[in-house]
Amino acid sequence: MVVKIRLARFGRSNSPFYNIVVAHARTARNSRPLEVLGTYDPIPKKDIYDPEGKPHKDIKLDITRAKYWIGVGAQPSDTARRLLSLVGIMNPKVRQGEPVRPIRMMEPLKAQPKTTPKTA
Amino acid sequence: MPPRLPAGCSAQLANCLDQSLICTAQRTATAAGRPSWPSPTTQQTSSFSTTAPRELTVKQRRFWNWMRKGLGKSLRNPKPDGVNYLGSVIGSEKSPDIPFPNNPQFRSSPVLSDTARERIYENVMKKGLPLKAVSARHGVDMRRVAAVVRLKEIEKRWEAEGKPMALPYAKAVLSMVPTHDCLPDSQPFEAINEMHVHSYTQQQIFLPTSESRHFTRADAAKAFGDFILPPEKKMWVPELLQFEKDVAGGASIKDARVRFLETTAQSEKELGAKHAEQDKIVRENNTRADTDRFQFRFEAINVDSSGKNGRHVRGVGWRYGMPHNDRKPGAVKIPTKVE
Amino acid sequence: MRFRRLLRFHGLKRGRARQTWNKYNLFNIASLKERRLDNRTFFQQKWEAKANTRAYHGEHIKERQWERMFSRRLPSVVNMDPRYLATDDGSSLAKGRGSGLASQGEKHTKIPYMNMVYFPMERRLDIAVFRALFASSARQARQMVIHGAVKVNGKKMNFPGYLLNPGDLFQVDPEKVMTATGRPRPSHEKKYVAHKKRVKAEATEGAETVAVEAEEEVEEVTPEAEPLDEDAAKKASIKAMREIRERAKDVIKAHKSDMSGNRKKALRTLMKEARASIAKGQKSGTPLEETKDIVKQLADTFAKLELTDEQRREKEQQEAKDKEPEVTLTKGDMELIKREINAELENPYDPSKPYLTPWLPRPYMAPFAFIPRYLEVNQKICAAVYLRHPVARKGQAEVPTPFSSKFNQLAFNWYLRRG
Repeated sequence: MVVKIRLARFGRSNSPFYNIVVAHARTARNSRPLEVLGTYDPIPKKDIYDPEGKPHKDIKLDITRAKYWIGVGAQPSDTARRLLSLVGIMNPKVRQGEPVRPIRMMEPLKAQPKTTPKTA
Repeated sequence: MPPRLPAGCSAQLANCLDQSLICTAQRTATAAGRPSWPSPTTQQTSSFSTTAPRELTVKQRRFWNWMRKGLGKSLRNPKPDGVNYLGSVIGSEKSPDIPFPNNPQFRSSPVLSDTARERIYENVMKKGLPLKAVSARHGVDMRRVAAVVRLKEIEKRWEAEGKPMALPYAKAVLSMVPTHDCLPDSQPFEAINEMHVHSYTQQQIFLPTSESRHFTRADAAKAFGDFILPPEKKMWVPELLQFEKDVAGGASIKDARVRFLETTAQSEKELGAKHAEQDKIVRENNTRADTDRFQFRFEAINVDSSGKNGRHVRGVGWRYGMPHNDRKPGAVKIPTKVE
Repeated sequence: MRFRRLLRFHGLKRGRARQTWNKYNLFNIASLKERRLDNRTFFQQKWEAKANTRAYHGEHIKERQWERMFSRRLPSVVNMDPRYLATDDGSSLAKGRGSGLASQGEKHTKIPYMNMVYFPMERRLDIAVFRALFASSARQARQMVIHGAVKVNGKKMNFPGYLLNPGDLFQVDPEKVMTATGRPRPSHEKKYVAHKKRVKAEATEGAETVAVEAEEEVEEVTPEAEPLDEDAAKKASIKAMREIRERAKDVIKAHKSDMSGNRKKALRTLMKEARASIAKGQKSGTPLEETKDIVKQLADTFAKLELTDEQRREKEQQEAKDKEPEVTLTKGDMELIKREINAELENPYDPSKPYLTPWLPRPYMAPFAFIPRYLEVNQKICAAVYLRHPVARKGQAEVPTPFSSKFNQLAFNWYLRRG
């Protein structure tokens, strides 16, 4: 069965919140996945120290695991692919006739915190 | 409450009753012909209430006397020269800074005047003096120095933006409370070396030692508990201790001050470096991608943080198989901190 | 109904102290006499103390909620002088038989712990807003929070029960603060009474002036009904007419006594014309060109009238100069004038505000105006920092309470739930 990287919608009505998950393609959207790669909060927020700037969206992601799953053939959904392409894990999908939107990276991701829970 | 009749109406009713009594008397007397009822139109009805206004109670009278002739009159407006509190005229311990006459333990302590705040801000932001040095110089608590700078910064920003400020309000309030100017030769604003009394130190303990033992504060702290620190280690500005030691050891105040400034600047530098390092770690774990509408902020995480069963508290994401209490009645939804 | 509740809240009969700047409350606090309680049972004493102190401290908070907040551990601090710490290692206090040698005869000031019973209340956001003098009562502060006028660390916080952490910065909308702490705008009734009085006073001066001014008053009170679809140019011309009228009015007012009858008359007719043309211009039918013409005409006549006035004044000044030695403004005078102008700019007359302008503090504010040390307030931006929790120190307690230590102690005993 195909393994997919996709979003699982949680949160409340009118306030979505997504888990970025790796799951078998035919399982239910919110069922327990193979792995939770991170989260995606699609509601844009203003920076309190810079209220005039662009609104931002927060994403938490384990890059190494995401790369691993792509490497073993997991197929990202369109939205997941868009998010992964933002950090340079994949190339963005280009549809015919649509201009390529520029993405400007501020700083590349270097290290990840080595945190392990004390008790499971 | 039963419905009430208007005053005029009740008078009319009484009149009617009287008339009817007379009529019945007449009827019994004559026992012939029809009784003549008084026509209601002949009665005068008034549209306003004729009941007398309620008299003031004793307490109300006392209150209005107090307000118009007594102490209340003088308390209505702020005094032009300063504070105007109740405790200056009544109470067991009359003093101009006691707002509640029954509670002389609470005094209206001075607040920093606008010039004092400006001075502190300039010392920290323009002259670049360490916070600890500014705190020691004016006798203002470290936390207060930081707060003053923080608030002044917002004020300056508002001024630059031309945002409307509550200027007449500020002027009025600062004229009503006692103020302190933080002049170079004035008394310190507050004690800057106050220490929290740990509850372990509030008990009396019996500690047998020899009379000849040199029993110091550090020994006492240890006697109260293994992790109770002596006051020297709890100071906000520990450099002050060295300053006083230098002065007591015979160094001139000028030299001691120079050393104090150096050490405080050094400690501030170290703290800054520590913060910079923390910021660097945070920055490395974050990346930002700008699209034309939004900025996407990526934070690096580790999937293992959710533990073996995926339910660990520090795990990222919506946890599976865990109920959410956020809409449960009785659960407290007030946040405990705002960052 | 609301009024009755308010009367009960500040009732003289029960005479409760409350967290407000109300004058009845001031009277109640001034006449707080703690009754002799020694002829009553301990339970009765505690009950009375609890009832009275709770009526002041967070009366709008449910008892159960307060019981959860209550802490029997009362915070205090001791001042350790650095000079003392540097010169003395504390061994003198343990001399002799363990209690020090010299400390026998010294008199110690006690730490008034019992005044700190309600210290957890002071952490609440609504009460902190009241303590920072941003609201005239704790209930008003609570409403401000609920209505979204208060921010904590830059984010809107609409829970009045939010417990502030040391270092939290809270700010209130300055407009709301000015409304809460300023004098209210006079009601229509009061305005009417004042107007009547003025008319009566001016009746002695001259019937003509009164009539004109009364008319003007009416004119001012009527709201400026301007339909949205009207031309902007037309609006501007109407505004210009209004300005001319205002200026003419000012000229009359300034030179009431020393103006010739003819000029006064001319100015008044000009004002009347202006008013008529304003009314005409506001009607939708009139063409724009016509209103423009009227404005031009009015401006010309006014300029003539004003010019003559100015010339006359100049002439007078010239005459005065000839008679007297030249007077120039000193630096001090200039500064004074500057200050006055600044004050006027800072606190202007603005009828669109929900409070009385120029802003004045509400009556009976001064006796309640104190800022506890655990807050650092910047009044200009209506923001404050909660520095730390309130503490007790030698002879002083930071929790503002109108009750004595003894009374507070009884309340403390109530919440200890012992015996």
